[in-house]
Amino acid sequence: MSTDTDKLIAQLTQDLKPVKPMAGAGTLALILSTLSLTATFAAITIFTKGIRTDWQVMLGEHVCQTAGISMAGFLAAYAAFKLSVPDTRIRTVERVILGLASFIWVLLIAGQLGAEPPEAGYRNCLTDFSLLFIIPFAAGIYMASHAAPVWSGWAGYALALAVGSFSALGMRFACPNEQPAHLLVWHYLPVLAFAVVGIGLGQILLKQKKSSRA
Amino acid sequence: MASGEKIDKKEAHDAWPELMLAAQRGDAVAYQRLLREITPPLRTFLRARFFAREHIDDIVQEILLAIHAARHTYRPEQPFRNWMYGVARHKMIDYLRKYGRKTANEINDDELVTFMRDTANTPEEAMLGKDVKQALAQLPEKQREVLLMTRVEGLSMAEAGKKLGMTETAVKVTAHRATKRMKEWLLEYGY
Repeated sequence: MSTDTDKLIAQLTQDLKPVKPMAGAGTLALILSTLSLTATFAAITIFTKGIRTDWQVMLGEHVCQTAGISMAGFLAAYAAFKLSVPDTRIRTVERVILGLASFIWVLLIAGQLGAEPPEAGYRNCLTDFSLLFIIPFAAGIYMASHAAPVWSGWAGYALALAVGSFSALGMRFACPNEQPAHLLVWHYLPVLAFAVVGIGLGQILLKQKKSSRA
Repeated sequence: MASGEKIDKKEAHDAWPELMLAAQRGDAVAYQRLLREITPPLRTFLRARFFAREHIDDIVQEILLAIHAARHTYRPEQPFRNWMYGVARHKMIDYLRKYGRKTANEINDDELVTFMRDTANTPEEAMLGKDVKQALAQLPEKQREVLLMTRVEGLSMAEAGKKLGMTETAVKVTAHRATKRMKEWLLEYGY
């Protein structure tokens, strides 16, 4: 062992402070999901026209959609925190979970394909969606950066997919337009678009946070 | 004899998760033992990837720093070796990106401190001292402050951390990185 390495080990172990082990991926995913949903519904109430008057349809007629979006959000959040802990490779379980979350979104999008073009006048849905997305995504990045994400791009994708799912869920409770094309263009495709952007953001933000922390 | 060594090595590997958990609880002795025991396998890991001897020490140190910074992320249900090599692989790739084609030269730590303290004995040394100061000036403010406090003013890592509002670990890592960055800068300028 070289003298420098010896010195470094001595330095690192000198006055060693206890550290609180990080919570498991399930717990962190639950925290992020709760936080995202709370922030989303709070923002809808405060900044948009509020929750739609017939919101019960999302728990009745559209319960599968609501469940699917919620499940995609939670699974993606779980995968994000799994990917935030060093490991020698992305394991099968992470691949399956993240793949499943993405697949749910592909199914939701496929269900709206072939519809008429959306009516004008609802374009502000994208602005609302973005507003609902920002704070929970920042919180997710903050949480993941306190771990040690080595797959920062994938972690960013999973985080954006998770938070995007909860934002889309919020939008379904806020916007009464049920036109398939409207849902496709202004509610669902943005989730995948933000998830793709999340890859780049993850690579930048998680990497920077990680090195400043180290 | 050989099979006895194999059993010893296996026993050492088996103890790593426990040592890491003890380190998370603040057990410095366990942590030192762990870091010492994982250093040779990390070297082997890097050697197997065709790293030149002069680079291995640098990368091992980067890996140890990363393991230190990420030690709170280890959980007992995860195989320790997967976790450790996950960090190692990541740091190795980082290193390859950063230093891929650079020649590895050495600038002694003590020399650097001597020039930072401005204790040159000859005009040549004074000139080198000026360059060291320039290298110091190009460091980010936090790294410069840490280096000046710990290497020139002689403050302990904990004292410097208190003054700068940083954790002791953060100070240690920042000092290490600052020294490295200065050396790189000096190498670029022909030292």
